[in-house]
Amino acid sequence: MLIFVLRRLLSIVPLLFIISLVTFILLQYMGNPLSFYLQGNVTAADLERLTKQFGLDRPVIVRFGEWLLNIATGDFGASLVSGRKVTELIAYHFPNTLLLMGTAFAITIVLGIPLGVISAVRRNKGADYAITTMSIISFSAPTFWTGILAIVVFSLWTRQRGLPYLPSGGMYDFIDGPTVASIARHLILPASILAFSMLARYIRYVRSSLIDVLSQDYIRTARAKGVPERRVLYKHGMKNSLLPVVTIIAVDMPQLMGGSLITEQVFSWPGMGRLMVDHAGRADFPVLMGILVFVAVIVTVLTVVADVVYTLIDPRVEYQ
Amino acid sequence: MKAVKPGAEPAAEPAAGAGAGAGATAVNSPGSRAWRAFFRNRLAIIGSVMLILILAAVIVGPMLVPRDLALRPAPRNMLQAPSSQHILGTDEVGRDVAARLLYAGRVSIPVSLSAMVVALLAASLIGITSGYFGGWLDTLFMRTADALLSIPTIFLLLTIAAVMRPNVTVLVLVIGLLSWMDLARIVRVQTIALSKREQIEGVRALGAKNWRILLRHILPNVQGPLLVAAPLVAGRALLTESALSYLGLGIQAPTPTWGNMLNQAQQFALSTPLLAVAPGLAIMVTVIAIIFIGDGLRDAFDPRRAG
Repeated sequence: MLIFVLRRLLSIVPLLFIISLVTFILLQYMGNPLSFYLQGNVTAADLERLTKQFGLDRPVIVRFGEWLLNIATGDFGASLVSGRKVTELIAYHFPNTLLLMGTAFAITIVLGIPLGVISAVRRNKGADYAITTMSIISFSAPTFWTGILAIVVFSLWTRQRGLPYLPSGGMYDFIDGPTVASIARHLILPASILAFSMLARYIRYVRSSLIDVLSQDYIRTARAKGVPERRVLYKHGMKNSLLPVVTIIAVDMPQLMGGSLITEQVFSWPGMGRLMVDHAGRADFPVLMGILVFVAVIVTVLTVVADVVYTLIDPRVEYQ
Repeated sequence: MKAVKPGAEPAAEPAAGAGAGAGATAVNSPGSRAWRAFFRNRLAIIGSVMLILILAAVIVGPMLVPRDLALRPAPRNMLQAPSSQHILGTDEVGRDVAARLLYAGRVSIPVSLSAMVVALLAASLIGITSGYFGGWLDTLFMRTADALLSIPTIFLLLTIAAVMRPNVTVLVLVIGLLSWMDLARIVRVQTIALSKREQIEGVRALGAKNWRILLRHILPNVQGPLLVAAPLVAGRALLTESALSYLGLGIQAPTPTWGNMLNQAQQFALSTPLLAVAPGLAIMVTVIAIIFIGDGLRDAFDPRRAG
C-alpha cells in the first residue's frame, strides 16, 4: 500500500517534466515576457536592462535547467508583474479555491447521491424524468452562464425588489472584514453553481450503478427471503452501489478544479483560477508555470487520496 | 455538419431493432421495453433535428441578415428591448442580438466540429500506433496522456492563450490536441486486442506491411468507439471554446462567438436580461442536441448499454 502510494506520487515527476518543458519552450518562443513593460516611454536601453535583469538573454536550456533546480528546492520565482513571490501568491489564493471546491463538492455529494437513488428506484417514472432533465441541463449549460443568471436572479433582482439578496461577488464585505458569516454568505452562490455543474455526473453514475446492483442475484435472494424492500435498498443495494462512486471522485478532480476557475472568474472569488486568468492576460510566465506545476501536484495527490480511500472502504480492492 | 449527420441517421434504425429484439426476451413487459426503445430513439431524432435546424440557421442566417446589423455599433439603438425591428433587442453598443447570435454560431459551431475532427484524428493515430507497436512509443504516448489528464484543460489552454493570442485555427488545433487522451486509451486497448487475433496474424503471414495492417485491418475495427465518442468530444469542445472566449482569452472581440457575447452581458443583465440569456441558451441547446445524438449512437453501437 505504502509502495503503491509512493509510486503514484513519483509518477508525476516525468509528467511534470514533460509539461514544464513544453510550456517553457512555448512561452519562450511565442510570447514576449516583457510585453507587460511595453507601455509608456520605455526605451530600447530600458528593455535591454530588463532583459538582463530577468536573465532572459541566456540560452533557453540553461534557464530551463535553472528553473527545474529552483522548483525542486521549492522556489518558483517571482511575478514579472508585481514582483511578489509565486509561492506567496499561491499560498494566498489556494486556500480560497480549496474552500470553494470543498463546499461545492460537499453540496454535490449531499444532493447527488439521494437524487441518483430516487432516479434509480423510481426508474422511468415522473421523478426520474424530472431528475434526468435537470442533469441534462447541468451537463450542457456553461458554468459561466448559470453563474451570471444566478447573480441576476438571486443578487441583482432580489436587491432591486427589496428582498433579501446574496452578494454578487467577492469573498467578504470590506466593512465586516473576513468574518465567518460574511464569507459563508459570499460562498453560497459560487459553491452552488459549481456544484450544479458537477451534479449531472454523480446523479447519472449513482443511478446506473444502483440499477445495476439491484438487478443482481443476491438482491433477488434477499427479496425472496422476505427482507423488507427498504432494507434491501439501503442495506444490500446502496452499500455496494456507492463504492464505485469514489472512483469517479478521483477522475473528476481536474474537472472540479477547471470548473472552479470559471466560477471564480464569474464571482470574483480570489482563488487560483482568478490568479491564473489575471496573469494569463499579461503573459506573466513564472506565475503561470508555478500554478500549472502546483495544480498538477494537487490533482495527483487528491487522486491518490481517493484511490487510498477506495481501498479502505472496499477490502476487495487491492493495489500493488 | 458532414462529421455528425451521417452518423446520426443510422442511429435511429439499429436502436429500434435492438429494442424490439430485446423486448421478446426481456424480464419486464415487452410493451415498456418497446416504449423505452422508442423514447431513446425519439431523443436521437429530436437531437438530430435540433442540430440540423441550428446548423441551417447559422449557415443560412448570415446570408439573409446584413453584416452591419451584427457588427457595427449603433449607439443610438443601445440596450433596446425586443421589438419587431430587433426581435431579441440590442446590446450595449446597439448591435442586434439576434443577428449576432447567428454570426457567432457561424464561428462557434465550426470551431467545435473542427476541434472534434482534430481530436479524433489524433486519438486514432496515437491510439493505434501505441497499441500496435508498443514499446517506448507506447510509454511516451501514454505518459503524455496521463500528464495532460492530470491538469485541468482550461489551465493549459489559458497558458497557451496567454502566449499566443489565439486565432480560430490555433484555437481549433489547441482544443483538439487537448481532447484526444481518453479516446486514445480506448483505441489503444482495442488495437492491442485486435492485433492478437488470428486474423491479423494471418494477414501478417501473407506478407502484409505494417501500415497496410493498420490502415486496412485495424482502423476500420476501431471506428465504433470513435463514432460513439465523437459527439461528446464536439460538445465539450463547444463548452471549452465558449468558456475561453468568455474569459476574454479565446476568439477576440470584433468576431462574435456565443462565449464572448456573454463577456459584457453581466453588467446589463438586469435591464436587458435577454442579452445574458440568449447566448447561453444557444450554447446549451446545441450541446443538448449533440448529447441526444451521442446517446442514440451509443445505444445503437454498444449492445450492452441497450438495457
